[in-house]
Amino acid sequence: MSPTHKLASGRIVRLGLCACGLLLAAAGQELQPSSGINWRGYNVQESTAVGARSAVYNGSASNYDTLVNLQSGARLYDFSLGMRSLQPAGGLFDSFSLSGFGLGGDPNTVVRLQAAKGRWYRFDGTYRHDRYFFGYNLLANPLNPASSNPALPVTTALHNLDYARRMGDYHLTLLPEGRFHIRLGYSHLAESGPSFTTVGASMAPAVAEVGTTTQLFQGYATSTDLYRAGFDYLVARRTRVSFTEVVQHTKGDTAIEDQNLLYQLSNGTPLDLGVVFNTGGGTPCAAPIANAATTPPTANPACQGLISYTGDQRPRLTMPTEQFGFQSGYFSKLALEGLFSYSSGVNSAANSSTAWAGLNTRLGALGNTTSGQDRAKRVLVDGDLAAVYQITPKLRLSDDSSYNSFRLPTQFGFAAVNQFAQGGGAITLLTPAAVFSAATCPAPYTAATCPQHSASAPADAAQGTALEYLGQNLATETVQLGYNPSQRWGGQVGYRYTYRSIYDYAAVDYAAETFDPGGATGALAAARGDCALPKGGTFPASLPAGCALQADGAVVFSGQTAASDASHLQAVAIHGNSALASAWARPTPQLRINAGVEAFTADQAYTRITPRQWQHYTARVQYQPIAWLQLNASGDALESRDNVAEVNNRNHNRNLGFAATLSPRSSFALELSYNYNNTYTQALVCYAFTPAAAGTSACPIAGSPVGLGSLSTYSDKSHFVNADLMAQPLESLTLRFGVASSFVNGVPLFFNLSGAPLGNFLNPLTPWGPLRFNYQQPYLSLNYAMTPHVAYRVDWRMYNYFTHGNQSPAGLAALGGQNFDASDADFSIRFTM
Amino acid sequence: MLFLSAALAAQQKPAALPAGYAGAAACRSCHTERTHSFQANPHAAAGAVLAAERQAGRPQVAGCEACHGPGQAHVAAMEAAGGSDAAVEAGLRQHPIGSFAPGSAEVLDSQPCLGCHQGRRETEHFAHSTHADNKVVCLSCHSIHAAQTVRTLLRAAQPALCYQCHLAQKAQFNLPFHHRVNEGLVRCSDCHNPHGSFIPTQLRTAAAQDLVCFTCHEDKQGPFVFEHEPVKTEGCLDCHSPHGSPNPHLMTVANVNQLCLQCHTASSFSGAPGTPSFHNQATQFQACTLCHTQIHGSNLDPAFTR
Repeated sequence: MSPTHKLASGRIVRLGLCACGLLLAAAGQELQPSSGINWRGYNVQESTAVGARSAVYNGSASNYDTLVNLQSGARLYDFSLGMRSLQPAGGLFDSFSLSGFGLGGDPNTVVRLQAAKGRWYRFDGTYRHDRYFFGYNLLANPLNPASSNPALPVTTALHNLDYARRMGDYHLTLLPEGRFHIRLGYSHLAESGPSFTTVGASMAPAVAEVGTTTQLFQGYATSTDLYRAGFDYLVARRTRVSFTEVVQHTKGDTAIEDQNLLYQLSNGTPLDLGVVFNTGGGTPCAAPIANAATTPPTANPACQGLISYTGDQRPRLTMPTEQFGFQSGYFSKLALEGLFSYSSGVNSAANSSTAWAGLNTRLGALGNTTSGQDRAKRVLVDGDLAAVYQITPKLRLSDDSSYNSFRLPTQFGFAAVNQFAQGGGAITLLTPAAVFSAATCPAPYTAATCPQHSASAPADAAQGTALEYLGQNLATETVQLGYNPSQRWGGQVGYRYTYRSIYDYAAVDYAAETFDPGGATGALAAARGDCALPKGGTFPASLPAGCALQADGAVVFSGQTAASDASHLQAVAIHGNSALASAWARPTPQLRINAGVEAFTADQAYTRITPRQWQHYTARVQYQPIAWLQLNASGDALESRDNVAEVNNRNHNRNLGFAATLSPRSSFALELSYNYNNTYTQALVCYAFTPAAAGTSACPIAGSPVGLGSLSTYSDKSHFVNADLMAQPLESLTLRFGVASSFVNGVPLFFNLSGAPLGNFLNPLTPWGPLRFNYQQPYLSLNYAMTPHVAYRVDWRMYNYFTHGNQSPAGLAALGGQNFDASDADFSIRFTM
Repeated sequence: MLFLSAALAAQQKPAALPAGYAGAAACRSCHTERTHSFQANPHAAAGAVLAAERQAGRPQVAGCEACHGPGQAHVAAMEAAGGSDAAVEAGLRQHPIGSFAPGSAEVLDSQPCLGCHQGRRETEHFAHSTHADNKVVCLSCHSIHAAQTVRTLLRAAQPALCYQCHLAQKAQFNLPFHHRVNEGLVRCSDCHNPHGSFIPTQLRTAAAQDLVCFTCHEDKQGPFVFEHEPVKTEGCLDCHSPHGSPNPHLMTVANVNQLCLQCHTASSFSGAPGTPSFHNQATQFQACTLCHTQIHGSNLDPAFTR
């Protein structure tokens, strides 16, 4: 192509770009790749791309932000600065590079800095910043029915979050090529931002739970600092030992607060009625709105609700870890390596607290305040040893031994105070709290000013310690024999033995759990909870051990609760055996084939979905019949099961993929790929569903606390297609376009409720959710090199998320659409030196 | 190939070459273009090469012959050929030199590289790595003279390089919910060490030998007063698909309750408590995590509600 032709072509393209609203500088220089400039003994190369993005989207904005989150605005798309010494030894550094992308508001920003000076030092630094937004509203959605009055759908994610995460990793190696290296490092991770969580029932010791399921604002803040220091020492020929000390310090400063006070009581007190509205089912009550004409609406005080909820936890973790490693190739036929670690740390919070005020109608409770001290210790011992012995040039034996053991003894020293309403009528949100004293609640403890205790009410006050323990020993031994008779094929067979034992216990030890009397049953009301009378027992003679009647009528329990288990028993021991085999072949230099299988069986399982047997098959083929064509294929199948009768768990994940890459010349390349994936899981589950729907069946598992059961299944089948075409019609013009599309079709939560409306879901209102959709991402880019140092680039990418099926099933308050389509266009100019 | 800087250093401080070696200058006289482009290659750093050679316990040969082998006979044969193609071919047959041509012994073997690199922390596991077992060798991923990345000399940048073989993972990272590998925020090698590790699937570990997931998701690490035990004993993958998923939060199934019920159904061998009767799914659907929000572990509540 003549220079004149190049210029003419360049003008045509530039005219097109001007039509897009951008005026570009004229170009006329010879187009040659930039090789940088030489400056003060360094070759310097620099590249910067600046521009702006236009992002337009229709449909669900929260789903767009969850999945894509690219917004409009000016951007520093990427930059790089590289300096390389022209002499064998430079000044402060022999090589230096600084690069990054995404600056100016993109959700993903990365900056990397590297510098090295021969045998003196090497520095690697990475800083990453990302926005993590989640607003997908179908997850944890209570699916409020349309029949509720009022019908209030949850159209935004209850666990909405918008975090900023900053990660920095910095590593300095001194004397990197010497016999003795020193390694220093520092990492920082901070995650913070506004988010929402929810609160509902509680199982915490002696805590009166809230009666309302609601959304809470969460000011999320957590950070970790990691300090590393260590050395490597070449003690003998090809033999290195190393030691590393790592100190991790993590702190959390998350506070939560109820800001969902959208209603008021008749006295003007702001009120939260929660997020679950199913008035037909009595949530938050049959008629929650007393007066809709006020601003905000006035709530029915007989409803459950929250006047306030606060929570504060500030845990601090300090965890040092010592690591000793070695690696040796001292013996020509034997390669050895090992790594041994010991880590011990304590996560503690001096004063964690939660408090709520409102009404739990079931308990007659008006509030709770809990505070306490957390202390969770972690001790980890880890050892790994690997040896590879080359018996002959064709035959080798390898052995891997791993041992990992952790212990987590933890405790929570708590003090809890629960508030109960006074009597004299129905308990409402306006009922004053009772104070138990000789003056306000004299014997026989039936006065209206006494706290009104139901039989299920927790203690009025409690002090104690919750103790927990979890430990695991895991040992693995793998032996493999490899045989590579030629450069054409080879393989190996092996055996792996795994032993795992898990220990746990949980106990609650009360210093004093105080049950005040009061209520319809008077003095007898104090005999509840851990001090409940046995059937037919008399008060106070039959009070359980550890319970003592006090002079004021209260019953105080001290000691460990009946449900405690501090026996430190082994929960489970699992022996596993695996057979391994793999083979590779290169029948010709152009063809590579790999295949492998591992078959595992164990005599026990820890959870119901921990497989007792699994087989994993893999195969890959790579074929390059001609220099410009490469074909790839892969197959992967994982079949697993915990197929004891009471679980009937079966799973598979089957994947098949093909790819072809054609690059007949440097100005043209085409890549095509297709992937099919099928995931399936099933397990027998039992649940409460009262009244039982047609088609339900009894839980077949003896001792189940709930009555119904069936086989639940999940299946998704996804097809992924990708086409990517690069063409360079002119030396200065590069075009690229393609598409990446996923098509997913699945069936969630199948309970064999053949008679249930709208299919076979546990809840007939459950929408299909994320399992029937197309997600298509076509894209196009144009890069025009106007001069050797200036290039113009346009990138356009479309995102189309389209769900199938009924998004608003009849009977469900409308949740809003899940679909979106977006068009993002980036216009940038790259300056290169 | 051509360790130019090493050669320059050698010129500054001449040292006798071992028998059979010709020296980098001899290579440069014919392979001029390669010599020039090699200046930016990390292998051109003289100090690194010489020290690595010392570590390997071999003669301190720097430059092209450190990888391609002694070239004195090759040089002599080429000089004797005098420009005749037939003589050149005959000379190459008689005095072969490491060509690293497709299908050659050098390409199928990692030893030429491991001679120097095996002692490095990042590559020390390679001898018993899954890649090595499957004959995925150094030059399957790296290219010394035609690399696409400056420092690590990869044939293509991540993740495109990994996707060439790991086709399933490419599809997974294109699902709506995925770790941001395609976006460049996370690299495959952040979680996996392609040169092998002590953990299956060549996973790395977090700083304190925990699951690699805790490197970024440190808020799930604990230790918590009340641990959700499978998080620590079974790992994250019982509930999450690590690369990508059609389901939010990379969950293995679409519905939270199905996930919970699979374990929380009473059974004779599992310590996980069965779902209590007051969780009546007929009156009002509620996702388990609406109340059990601290499902990875809590410091306040054994049922993970606070």
